[in-house]
Amino acid sequence: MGRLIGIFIFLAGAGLTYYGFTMLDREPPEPELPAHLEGVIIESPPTVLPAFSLLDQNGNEFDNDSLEGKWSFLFFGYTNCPDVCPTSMTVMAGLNKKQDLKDFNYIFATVDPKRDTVAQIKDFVSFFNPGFIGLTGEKVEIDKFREPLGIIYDFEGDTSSEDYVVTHFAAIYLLDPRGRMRAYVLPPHDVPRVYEAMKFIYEYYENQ
Amino acid sequence: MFRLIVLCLLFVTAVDVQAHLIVKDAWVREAPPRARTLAMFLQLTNHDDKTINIVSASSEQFEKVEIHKTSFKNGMMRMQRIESLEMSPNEVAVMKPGGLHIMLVKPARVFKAGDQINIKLHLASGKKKTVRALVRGKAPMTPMQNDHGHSH
Repeated sequence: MGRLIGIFIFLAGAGLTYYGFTMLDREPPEPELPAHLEGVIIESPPTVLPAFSLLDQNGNEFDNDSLEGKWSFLFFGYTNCPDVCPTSMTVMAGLNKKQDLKDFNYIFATVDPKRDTVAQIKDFVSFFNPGFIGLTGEKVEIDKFREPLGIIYDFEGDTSSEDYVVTHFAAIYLLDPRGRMRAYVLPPHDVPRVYEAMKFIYEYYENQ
Repeated sequence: MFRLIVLCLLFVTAVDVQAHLIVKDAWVREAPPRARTLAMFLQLTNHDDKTINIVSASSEQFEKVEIHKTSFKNGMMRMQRIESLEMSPNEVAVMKPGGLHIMLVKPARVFKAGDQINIKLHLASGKKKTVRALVRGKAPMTPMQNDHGHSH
């Protein structure tokens, strides 16, 4: 009899532990966005990134662990981009001025590592905000990082010269404190729309 | 006296040529110090009764000046060179972030907010139109004037 009770207690404990773990990792239902927010896409369940290793604007390694612990905003582009990338970076700088989004990582990652060296990236990101992170690296590592996020790009013009432009997917991404992509906002970007969308999504998942 | 009349005529003609293509609100977005490209934005109005065709552009401050157009499709950003910009009478071309812009390639030096940048638009007629623009720092999305309204 005592053994039966023991087994019962063991099973109940195991069940509770299992339930606890699934609760921790259970994906909350997808939030319903306010109808007026257009071009905002929520990834539910979130997109998990494979292992990657890039370099930040100071030449230090930046990998999956670097995304742990904080929410992040992420934008892909190239520093020779005169119009859209500076506009989206200016919007990121505008988000950074909002008190409730201050403690985020703000990350720019290049799709053009040939021209975007560590020094070039540092010059670019620090112009918009000295606290921003800029990423470059080996093409194969950038590919690991960008592909699961749906970042596609294409070079136009003579890539053996310095004069070519890059057509690229230009969304601003939201990554959760486990480095998983939760949502993205399509361009063209402006602070009020991106702020409202990101705040809504981030607060929803924070409160789950 | 004859010389004076000729001078006057020349002056009138010169003013007339300038008046055909009106430039408004020209500005250049300040870029990071190492930037190889900058973008100029402005508003052009064709005040002529004929079509005006802008076929190229140049500047002593840049190696190359081109007209470009940014377009968005399904989240993709694309920049295309516009070979020539044709403007029918009274047509207004607004160059602003996320659309048409004048791309300035390889600056001769670093330009900071407050600096002046001059370019020439070359028209199919052979005429040239000089555009003077100020570099604006950390430019907001909308022109400065629009921002003041919110702060009051």
